[in-house]
Amino acid sequence: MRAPEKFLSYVLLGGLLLALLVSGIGCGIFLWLHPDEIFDYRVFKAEPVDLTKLSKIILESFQGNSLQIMQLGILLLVATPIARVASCIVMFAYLKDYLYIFISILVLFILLASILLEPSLA
Amino acid sequence: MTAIEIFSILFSGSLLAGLIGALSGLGGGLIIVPLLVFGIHADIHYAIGTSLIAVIATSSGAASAYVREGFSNVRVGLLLETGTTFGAILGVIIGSHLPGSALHLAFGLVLLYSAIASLYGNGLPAFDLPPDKLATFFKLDGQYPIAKGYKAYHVQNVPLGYFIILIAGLLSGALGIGSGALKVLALDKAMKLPFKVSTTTSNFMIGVTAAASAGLYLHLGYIDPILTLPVLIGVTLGSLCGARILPRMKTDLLRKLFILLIVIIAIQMIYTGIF
Repeated sequence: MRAPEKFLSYVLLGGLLLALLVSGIGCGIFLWLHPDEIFDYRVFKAEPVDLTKLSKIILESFQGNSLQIMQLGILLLVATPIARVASCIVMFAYLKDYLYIFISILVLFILLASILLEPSLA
Repeated sequence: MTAIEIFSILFSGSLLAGLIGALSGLGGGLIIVPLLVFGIHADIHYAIGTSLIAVIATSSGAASAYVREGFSNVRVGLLLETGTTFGAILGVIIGSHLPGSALHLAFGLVLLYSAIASLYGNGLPAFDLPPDKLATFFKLDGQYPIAKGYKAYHVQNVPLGYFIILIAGLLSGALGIGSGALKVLALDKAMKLPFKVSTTTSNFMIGVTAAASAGLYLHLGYIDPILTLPVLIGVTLGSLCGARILPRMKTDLLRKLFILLIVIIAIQMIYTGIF
């Protein structure tokens, strides 16, 4: 196997394991505290704003709020495809493949733009 | 339902979703939506948010192995991602003006047609075709592992593939789906990639497309941690297993599984469009 692809595959695996670890911890704490609590999802109510704001999620998960740790796990997972594109830039830089450095940067740019802009478009 | 019950049902169903999603390049959405709607009696909004995360989990779970073993064509994936991510932004804008039911119905009918077309032959695979000018310019040709060693292939019809991928991105943004079905079809039917390269390259791409829409659905409050976490963990583990099975799986069997799955998605989409 070639070195650049090895690098890419390790970055992918590392990010994924981190997301899994945080998710597992959040899930474990939550189930330990609320095993028999009843939840009903038949009627949709949007999640509380606290669970959708990045700064709140990070701050409160470090204070040990299990729902926020779970939400942090989800955010880390969402970050894995972003890391995938970013590490492609590194891989193609190593290969001196300028066309694909440009294409990877373009994808990363559109991806970040859509994550940040879409909430205000819809 | 108690938290433990929700976790157990979703976790076990998600293992299967991840396994099948990673093998077929379709993502975990097609099993996750019915699992939430019928298994947990959750509202469809929660099902959409959760399945979007499931798509990312499938993609990331298998991507590492597929890239390492040389199945995914990273250049094809990245080139087409410019189309899916851009299409997804357009889709979000269009989706808020167009009735979702019409889009679901149209998508369902397209898939049903592709499933039928897939049953009647597939033309030549790319390794028996001459190099294509545009594909050569973008350095898209590649090789992938077979039982003994590697086999080279020449990518075809880049513009048509790119156009289908743009539509796939548009549908992802408008409907909150990974649209792996259209991606595999574009790679397999239009660009003539070997089937395992098509499913694994689609797998590489769907996570990026889904991540582009994640900001929106998180903001809309569709993503509930109690529903999403067991799915995230289950799908990821299932997908890691799927990536181990793929190299040994017969291509013919994989193709049959794929056709069966797109018929199921087509029925789901048409059903959602009508009711």
